[in-house]
Amino acid sequence: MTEAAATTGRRPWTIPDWMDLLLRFLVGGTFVYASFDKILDPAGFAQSIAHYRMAPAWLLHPAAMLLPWLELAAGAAMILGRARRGAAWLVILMLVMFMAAIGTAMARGLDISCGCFGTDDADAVGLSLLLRDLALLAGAAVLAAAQGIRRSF
Amino acid sequence: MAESAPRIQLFPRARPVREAALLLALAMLCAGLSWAVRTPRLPLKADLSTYELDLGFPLIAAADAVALFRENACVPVDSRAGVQARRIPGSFVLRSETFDDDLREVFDFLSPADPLLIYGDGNLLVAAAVAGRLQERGFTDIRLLQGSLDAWEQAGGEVGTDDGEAGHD
Repeated sequence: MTEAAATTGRRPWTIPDWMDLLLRFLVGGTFVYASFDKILDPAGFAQSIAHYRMAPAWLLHPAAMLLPWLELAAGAAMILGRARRGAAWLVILMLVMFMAAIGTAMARGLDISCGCFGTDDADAVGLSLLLRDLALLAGAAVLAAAQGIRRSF
Repeated sequence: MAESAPRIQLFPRARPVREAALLLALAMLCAGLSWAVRTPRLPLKADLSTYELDLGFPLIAAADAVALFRENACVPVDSRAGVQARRIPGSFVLRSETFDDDLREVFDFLSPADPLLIYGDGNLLVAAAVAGRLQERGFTDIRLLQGSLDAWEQAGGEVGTDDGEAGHD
């Protein structure tokens, strides 16, 4: 029984090791990959965020500087199996935010590129991006709900 | 050997919150350091006017574009990358990455005075890049379709299929 289960008295919900590893590498790897270009070019990422016309002036640059590092930290923690559930919750929070941004951009008829993987990302906002984020959200939700760390690096 | 007493964990359900807070603090530290050492430094408060999407060409809503098309008052230009199976009937294909080759194929059929309607995959920056190159070659009446082919279809515009070859459909 895991520590958390011993203290709460609840039976942990477990998933097979292979699924745990696969989800961690898929979701975590996507976030780590997505962070690189944005970390190298925060001004370009700020431009991508500005195109959504949602962030006020005081938030734009701090968000452009913090979000890529948050993606990297959460993605790396998820892959390494350290602070895994906290990382999964952060990823969920970010994905909900991204999906809200994409959804409102679609609703407002904005023709902009997503900026999800950096400034060269030419994917236009649309349903396919929402579905991709939804799939990542499902993976992160499983990792957040499953108890215990079976394998860490 | 005496059995070790179970560890008591205060607020066990708060553990993911503590982990998330730790990762957030780590990300803030890295972002702060990165901001401090990078030159030129991004100002903390942005000037939003520097981020206005200036395409340099007028946009036209899909419904207005469909009306113009039906009056034969515009010449559609497909700027989407790669080979596309579906496009606005009568489109000329001018892609950013193969612009010069594409233009050579259709140049005899286009006049610099033609009212061009450039459409893309929804990313207006790509369509604007093609528009810019056409402007360099003397074309003056250029408009960009707001939205992709989906917006055109939703506005009731006709969409045809072809063999995917570059050139005039």
